[in-house]
This record gives sequence, structure tokens and C-alpha cells, in this order.
Amino acid sequence: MTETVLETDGLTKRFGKLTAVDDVSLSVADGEFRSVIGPNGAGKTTTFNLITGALSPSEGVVRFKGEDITNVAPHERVGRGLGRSFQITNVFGGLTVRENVRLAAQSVHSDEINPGEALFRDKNGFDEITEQTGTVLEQIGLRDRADEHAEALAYGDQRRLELGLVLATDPDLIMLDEPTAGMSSEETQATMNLIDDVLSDRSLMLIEHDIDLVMRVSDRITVLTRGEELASGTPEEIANNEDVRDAYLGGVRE
Amino acid sequence: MTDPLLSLEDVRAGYGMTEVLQGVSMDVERGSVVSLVGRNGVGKTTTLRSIVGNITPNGGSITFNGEDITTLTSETTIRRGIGFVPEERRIFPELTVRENIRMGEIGSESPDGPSVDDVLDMFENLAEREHRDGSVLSGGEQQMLAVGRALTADPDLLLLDEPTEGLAPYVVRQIEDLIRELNEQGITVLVVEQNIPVALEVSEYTYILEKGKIVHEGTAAEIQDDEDVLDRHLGVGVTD
Amino acid sequence: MVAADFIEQLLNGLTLGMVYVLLAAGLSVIFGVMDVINFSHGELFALGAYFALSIIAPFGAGTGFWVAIVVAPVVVGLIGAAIERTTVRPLYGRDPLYHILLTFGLVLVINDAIRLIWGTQQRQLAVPEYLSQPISILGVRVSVYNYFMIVFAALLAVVTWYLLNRTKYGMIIRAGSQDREMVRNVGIDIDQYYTLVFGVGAALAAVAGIVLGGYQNVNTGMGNSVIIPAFVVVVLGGLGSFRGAVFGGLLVGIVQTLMRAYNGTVLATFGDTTLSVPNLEGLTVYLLMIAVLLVKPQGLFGTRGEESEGEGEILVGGYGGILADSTRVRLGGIAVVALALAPVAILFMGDQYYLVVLNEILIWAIFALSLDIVMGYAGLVPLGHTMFYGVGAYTAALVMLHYSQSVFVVLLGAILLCAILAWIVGSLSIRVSGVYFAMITLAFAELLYSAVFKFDFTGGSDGLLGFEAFIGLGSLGASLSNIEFGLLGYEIGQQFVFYYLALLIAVLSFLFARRMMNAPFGSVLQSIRESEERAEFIGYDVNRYKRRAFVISGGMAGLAGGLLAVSPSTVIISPDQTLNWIHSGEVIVIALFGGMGTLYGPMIGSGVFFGAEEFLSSYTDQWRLIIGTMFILFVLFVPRGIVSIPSLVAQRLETANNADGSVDMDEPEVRSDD
Repeated sequence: MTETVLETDGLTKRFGKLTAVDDVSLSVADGEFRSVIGPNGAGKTTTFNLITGALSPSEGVVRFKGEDITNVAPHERVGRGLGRSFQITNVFGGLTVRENVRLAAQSVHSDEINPGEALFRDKNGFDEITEQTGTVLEQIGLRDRADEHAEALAYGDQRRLELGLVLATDPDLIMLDEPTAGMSSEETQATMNLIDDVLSDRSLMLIEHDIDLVMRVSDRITVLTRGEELASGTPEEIANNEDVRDAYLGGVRE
Repeated sequence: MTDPLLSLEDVRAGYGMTEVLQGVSMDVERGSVVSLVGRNGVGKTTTLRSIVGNITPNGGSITFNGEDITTLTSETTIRRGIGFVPEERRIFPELTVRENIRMGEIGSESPDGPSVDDVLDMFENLAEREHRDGSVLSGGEQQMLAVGRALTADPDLLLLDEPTEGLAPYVVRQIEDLIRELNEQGITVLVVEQNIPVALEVSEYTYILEKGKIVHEGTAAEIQDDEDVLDRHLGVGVTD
Repeated sequence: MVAADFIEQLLNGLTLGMVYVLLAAGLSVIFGVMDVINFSHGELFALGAYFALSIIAPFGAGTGFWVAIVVAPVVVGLIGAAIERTTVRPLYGRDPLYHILLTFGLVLVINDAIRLIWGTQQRQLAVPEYLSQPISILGVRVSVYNYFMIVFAALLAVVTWYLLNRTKYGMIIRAGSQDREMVRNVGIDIDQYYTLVFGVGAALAAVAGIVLGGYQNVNTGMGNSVIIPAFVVVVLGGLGSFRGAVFGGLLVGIVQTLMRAYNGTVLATFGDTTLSVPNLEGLTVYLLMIAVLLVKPQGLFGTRGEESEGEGEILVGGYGGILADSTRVRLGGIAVVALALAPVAILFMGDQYYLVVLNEILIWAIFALSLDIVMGYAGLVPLGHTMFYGVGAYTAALVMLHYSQSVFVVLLGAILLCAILAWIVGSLSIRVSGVYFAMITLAFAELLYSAVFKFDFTGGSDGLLGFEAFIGLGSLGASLSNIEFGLLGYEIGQQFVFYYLALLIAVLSFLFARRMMNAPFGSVLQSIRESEERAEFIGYDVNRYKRRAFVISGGMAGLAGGLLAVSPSTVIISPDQTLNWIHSGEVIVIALFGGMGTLYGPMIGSGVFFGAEEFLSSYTDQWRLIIGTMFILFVLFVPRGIVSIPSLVAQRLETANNADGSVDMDEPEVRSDD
């Protein structure tokens, strides 16, 4: 019996009179690739933010690896193994590629660094962190460009770096927020290949608009509409689901 | 055959490093109603914003009424005769209904357009709330107000971004009627919609946008009957 | 009679309040529409009064006053419009910090221009006879002028309200503060209206200046003394809200006056600056401002969210420098050696005065370094950093007076107390961000400034004196002033000894800061500056890091203040010398001059600033005008500071030689329409 890495129970978020997320209960198994799709305003991003901790729920519970993290601060969730990538590339532009990755790696080793070292020891003097940084750079294919400033990178490479930042925090579950937004078909393919290469042994939760992509890569898909969970199932089940079709096409068949 | 009123040719545009539009080409014929549809995130709003001038394209060209408007600022573009009703309406919340419409009138170069009173005559429910602040209006009323504001500038082309979003069905019908009526008065309309039935209902010609490119175009009637196209580009994919 | 007395005070409060309303209205609308914080508003206020003086002169008090009250605001309004077009306009899209810096530079320029043109003596604004008569209504005795001020200002406020709410231009401006982009999207070029807004705001400030000038007097410090209360009003009422400005202005004016009347605290006088507008001995007003910022930052009537539209970045100096690290280290070493030998050279020259200047430079170098830690690295912009400098100085003086004269104990005490203060202030302040963070730190600083006037142990307005440092510990060492010996025929005195002490501490501080930035803690600070959100989501508790950076910074600033107290040139530690808000501005200026985010940049900036001051003041009295102008030019064209000049030049040369695709490192990507 596979373990559940993430579970939400009755997750609800209200903004004044608007209920953005309504009683969403889903569970993601360990190692699963879950995608969340839905027409505009479906509540995908809000759900995402509730899970990562950027927002706190009006009602409901979020459980990660069996533990209740509903009231845990975002940075701490990362420490427990819940990573996220950003839609609009959010790397540390003025810092080098290497430094970007190193910072991410450093954060998961924070506990091992005592206050004195934190203030005075050369940041590059921590072997484990340095090693991890090197490994991740290799994995995302940016070792050769490690000493360039992040904002000087081409868009595609910045996306890689973004993934590298997530990877370096050694997460068990990775939340990917529209990783292929604004990309051409070729770039999309390359990105998904990369995700497959480096993140495949972890659990993944993806928000995407690119349905073709989602259908191809997901183990399971959850469809949200108007804040509610409409359906969950394998890509095939979802593609054949009349309710889902209606949600997207608005009953055009009539 | 006259030139199209609006023409986009291989437009590439985006925000910062993200290139959302990767070569969009489309024409809007004079006097027609054209819809631009696609799933969310594909670049529909970005297309409108590029036309209006909120975003300057990185490549390609946009022609309006024979003039290249690709790099014009939005103030200038609007004054050429384009009315813009953006997503979420964006009426001025602390201005009254009357003042909102007046803002559109001030921005116009043309003396021929409907006056504020003319617009209030067109929209009964707005006339009733003439001196109330925009923020107290319902969604549908705000939508009407946003359209009315654009109309006072006597536009040749009206751009509507998701005009039916978040509105109740009967209000949606009202919007559809409005679009038809405006078109009958001679205004060319380009409407962006995620609501497929509405888009196909009001428009004659439809462009389907996917991943920053036009992947299909045709008359609304054709598309309506083409399940394959619908599923593939707008739905959840084709089942093999 | 008590009741009549109270009503008199109420009227006084109302009078003052109306002045604030006029000031705050302009300030608030400028922010609401343009996202610009205008520090020079106080000087525009003063400018109005001064222009009035000149206009009244040929006409005489009777007609002159009325002519002035119409003409002077128009002139100032035009000046305001010109300022907007030439200096403020180019900065749209940059981090709001740069508006603060720019308008602060304008403060220096305008204030010095006033001194140049009108002199530094306090003047009286001639008011018509019939207005300055006392008048008694129902036992309430005030001057006719009080009623005049209230009525006139109220009239203006009504006119302004009318213009905003009943005219076409007012409507456009209101729409602009609600949704700037949409105004463009209906075909209106909102930029043109900014000039109008700024100009009208300036004119209103000028009227306020004339009106208050007639009530009290006209002096070169009047702008300075009124700008902080004006900000309090704006924050209270809500940035961008006209209604809020009215409400806040009246509230603050009345509270302030009543507190003064019934508190019995004396007004202070310093040199040629008379604090005619009470310096808010009502600490209540600052506490109120802090409370509002913590509970409802938008103010009582404001509707804007915390974050304003334009998200810029703080442009740091060290990026892409052309020098290799090893070269920099070598240069640094050379600099230290040069500094170590400088006193020797000075000895030969025979004038110990330069040592005094160097000492000042060193103290401020440490102060500026402390600021760079939070500003250039963590990305926080505190407008009240002088509070640590001042508290450090006071603590040191107090320790010397009451506990121990040992310089080690003294400095340690200063550092510790300031670190604790920074922990408290920091914890509260980081709850808000951006402009509000700047404001709340300013409020805390003003609170402390007002506080030291009130207590005996801080010496009230006179300050502390009679303290002396002891170089050594316990009984081992010597009192600083006693150290005097001859060496090779030259006299080595306390300035000398202090210099080396200060130099040592400066070098150690720099090395400490540099070490810290190369260590894990410092690296996280930099990541926060680059992207706070991302730092949070790779697992860092951003608030905790900010707080700690603030504590370290505060402690170091306290060290600088402590050194000031120890310095042999310092005889008195007084409020204005150490806690006046203008020092908060000066240290930011210095940091920018040098180049933020480099650690050594601000230290160089200190040298440049004081060096320039020394050099220029020997040629002209208007050195502040020149520095202010230089500063404005820097903000506009060299925002990364002096340290970036070599690479700027190199870049220009490179692009001149060949078209290369080098990344433009000066401006962040700005969207075409915002």
C-alpha cells in the first residue's frame, strides 16, 4: 500500500463573499505525478497557495507525510520536504547561478550550522553543501554556466535554474506552478524532459493549462471548477468524462 | 475586397522574459464580430493588451485602419478609434457611473460619439444609478458600464476581454444581445472568451489560440460542428 | 476662565490643523496619484513664505500681503511643476526609495537656495494691521489672524475639494489614483497630469507657509520642522486620501496644541533655527502613527493596499565591477595603509584640523556601513536609522558620566543597548513593508528624538556634557584628554589617539561585515534583497533574518554613535546633533553616493561627503546646495554610486567600440506602459 504524501481534507478558502476553494479533499500518493487543471477561476492557484502555505485556509486541513501542516509557516514546509517552483521565473537575478543553487542547498542544512558559523564561517566552506550544489548543477545542466549572473541567462536556462532551486532543497513533494508558461512546443518538451530526468523519483503536483502535456505526463489528474473538485482520475478517465468536457466546452454540443 | 480593419501579423509578445505570444496572425474584417478563444493561459488577454499598447510586441506587426500601431502607446492607440473593455471590467470604483462614462468621453478625439446622456439612455439600469459609485454596481452592471465608457469614444473597433466572466446566465444573454446590437450599429467587435458557447453564438468568425499561436480558424458555424477541433484545442483532449 | 481658555487652545489647534491640512492634502494626493513621497514638501512650504516676504516688500503690509498670498503660491506651483518634469518624472518605475532620495536632495538644494537668496536671519512676515488685532468673542481671546487662517485655509480646502470632485481635471486625477493604467486605456495621457498634481500640491504648501509665516515667523528651519508632522498626518489619514488629509491634519493640529498647552513643555531654540512649530512633545502623535501603521497601514481613510504598483529594485554598486576581487583586496589594503599614515602627513602640515575632519569621516563611515547591511544587503529602507546613532551617543555619554569611563565599557554599552532597541523596533517594523516600513522607522526615530527632550537624565534640550573617555580598563590606561606626548618634536594629542582608535574600529567593522556577508547569514540577506518571496520558498524564515540584520545594523550604528561621544571634538551630545531626522537622510545620501551593497561603498561615500563639505565650505556657504545637486544627479544618472563609475565608463567605452549584447544592468525591466 503506497503511502500518501499529501492530503487535503475539506480545504476551503473564502475572500469576503467569494469562495475561491470549496471543500477540496484530495490525496496524492507517494511517487505520483498529479496534475491539477480546470477552466479559468477554477481555484487552482489558490489551492496551490493553500498547500504551500502562501495562504491560510478558512477551513480544512492539509496533511503532509502524515503530519498536519495547516498552520505551519511556508519556509518550514520547505524544510519538511514540500518544495515549489514559480510560474514567473523567480531566481536571484543579481547572484550567480552557483550561488542560487548553493543558497537552496544551504537552507536544508541550516540546522547543522551553529550561530557562530552562520555569521563567520565562509559560506563555501561547508563540504556537504558544496557537494550538493555541484550535483544539482550537473543535473540541471548548468555546471558550465555556474559563474554567470542568473539574470544574464536565457529564459530556458533560467527555468532550469528555477527547477534547480527546488531540487536543491531535496523535496519529497514538488509543486510546479505552470512550469511551461510562455514556452514554445519545443521548449515545453525540453522542460518536461528535464523534469522527468531530475524529478521523476519524487512526487509531483502540477498546475498547467497545456492539456496535451498534462494528458501525456500525469499519473492522475484532478479537475477543479469554480473552486470545487469536479473529477479525479487517470488521463483516460478524465478525457472521457462528460462533466469535464462540459466544464471546458460549456455544453456546446447541444 | 476591403482590407481588414485590424490585422496582426506574426506578433510575438510577452512579459519580461516570458514570451506568451509566439507568432500570432489574425484579421478582423470591417463590420464583423470575431472571437478569439482558447483555454486559459494561452495568451488571449496578452493579444488584446498588445493591440491596445499596454505591451509592446517583441516582433511582428499590428495594423489598424491601414496604420501600423505596433509601437504606439495605449493613449494614442485608443484615440485612433479602438475601445477597450478589459478583463475584470476595471471601472473606476470611486467614480460615479456618470463620471466613469465621462472618462471615456474625455479620452476621445471624436466629437461624433454618443454623449454621456446617450449612453445612459442605452443602459437603463445604469441611468438609475447615475450618481452611485462604480463599486456598488453588480458584475453585470459594471460590465455594461465598462462598455458604455468605451462607447463614448465612438470606436470603430471594440475589444472585449472575457465580458461574460462571472456573470449569471441571464446577464450573459444581455451581453450577447448588446454585442449584436453594437455590431448592427456598425461597430466591429473582437471578443475574447473562454466561454465557448457564447463566443460561437455572437461571432461570425473564430480564431483558436493555443500555446501562443493560432492553431485553428474558421467560421463559428464550422467550428461549432467540429467536435474534433473542439476537444483537441478547447476541451480536454481527444480520446483515441 | 477655564472653558474660554480651552476654546482658545482649541482655536489655536484648529489654526495649526488647517495649516497641516493644506500641507498634507498636497503631499497625500501626490502620493496617491504618483506613488511619490515628496520630502521637499516642507521646503516648498518655506519657499512660499520667503517669496511672500519679497513680494510684500515693495507693496507694504496692507496690499502686499494679499498680493503675496496670490502670487507666491503660483510661483512655487510653477517651480513644483518644473521639479516634477525634470527630476521626478525620470524616476517612475524605480523603487520608491529613489523618490525619497531625490526629494531629500531637493531639500538640501532648496534650503540652501533660500539661505543664499534671503539670508539666514529670522524674518517677520508683515501682516495687515486689521488682521493681527486681538479679538474677544464670548470671553475667548485670540487674534483675528487665527480666524483668518482657519477661514482662509478652509476655503482653500473646499476649493481643492471642489477641483478634485467637480472638475474634469480633478476627476482624471482621482481616476489616476484608482487605476492608472485604465486611465491610459481610455485614451488619456496621465503623465501630463502628474505635473499638474505636483504643481498644485506645491502651491498649497506655499499657501500654508505664508499663512503660518504670518502667524509665527519665517525662518530657514521652518520646512524641516513641519515635514515630519505632515507625514504623520498623511499616514494617519491615509496615503492618497484627501478626506484623510483633512481629518488627520485637524486631529494632529488640535492634539499637538492641546498637549503643548496642557503639558507645559518649553519650546527649544538652536542657533539660528527656531522651532516655531512645536516639535511634537506630544509623543502621542508618533505613537498614534506607529499604531496606525501596525494596525491599518492604509490609514484611517486610505484604500490602497500595502504594495504600490511599481516594484523596482535597489540598485547596488558592486554588480559587474571591472576589478577582480584580488585587486580590490589590494586596493583596500593600500587604502588602510594610507589612512594609517595620514595623521603623520597632517602632523607635518601642522594643522590638526584635518584630523578632526578625518575623525568625523571615520565615525560616519561606520554609521553608513551599518546602513548598508540592512539597505544594500537585506533590502530594507529605514528612514529612522539615526535613532541608533543617537541612542548610541547618549548611552555612551551616560555611561561615561555615571558608570565607567573606560572606552571599552562605553562602546560595548552603546552597542548592546542599540542592539536591544533594534530588536524591539525591528520586530515591530518588519511587519509592514516598503514605504510603510520607512515611515514606521521614521516614527520611532522621532519618538526617541522627542523623548530625550523630556527627561532630565538625558539633559533635555541642552543635552549631556562633561563626559570624558578613558582609554583603558579599570585603572590601567589614561584619560583621553590627558594623553599628550611629544614625538620627534611634534605634539601628539587626543585627536591623534582617537583617530587610531576610530580607524581600528572602522577597519574591524568592515572586516566583520565582510565576513558576515560571505558567511551563510549574509548570503541569505542578499537573497532576500533579490527576491524575498523566493527566499521564503527555498526555506528561509525571512522575517527572522530581517530582524537579525536590523539588530546587527542597529548595534553597529550605536557603535558609531558611541564613538561620537568618545571623540575629543565632541563636547555635547544633544538631540539635534544626534537624533534629528536629517541625519537619517544624510546617512542614506552617503550610502548612495558611495554605492550600496558593497560595504566599502558607503564608507567611501562618507569620505566624499565630508571631504566635499570641507572643501566646498571653504569656498562658499552654499556647499549643501552643491552637494544636493550632485546627489540629485547621482540619483538620476549614477544610482549605483561612485563605485559603479569605473564599470559605467568601461561599459560606455565597450559599447562605443563594438555592439555587444551586454546585459543592461542599470534599469530593471519596466513594462512599456507602467
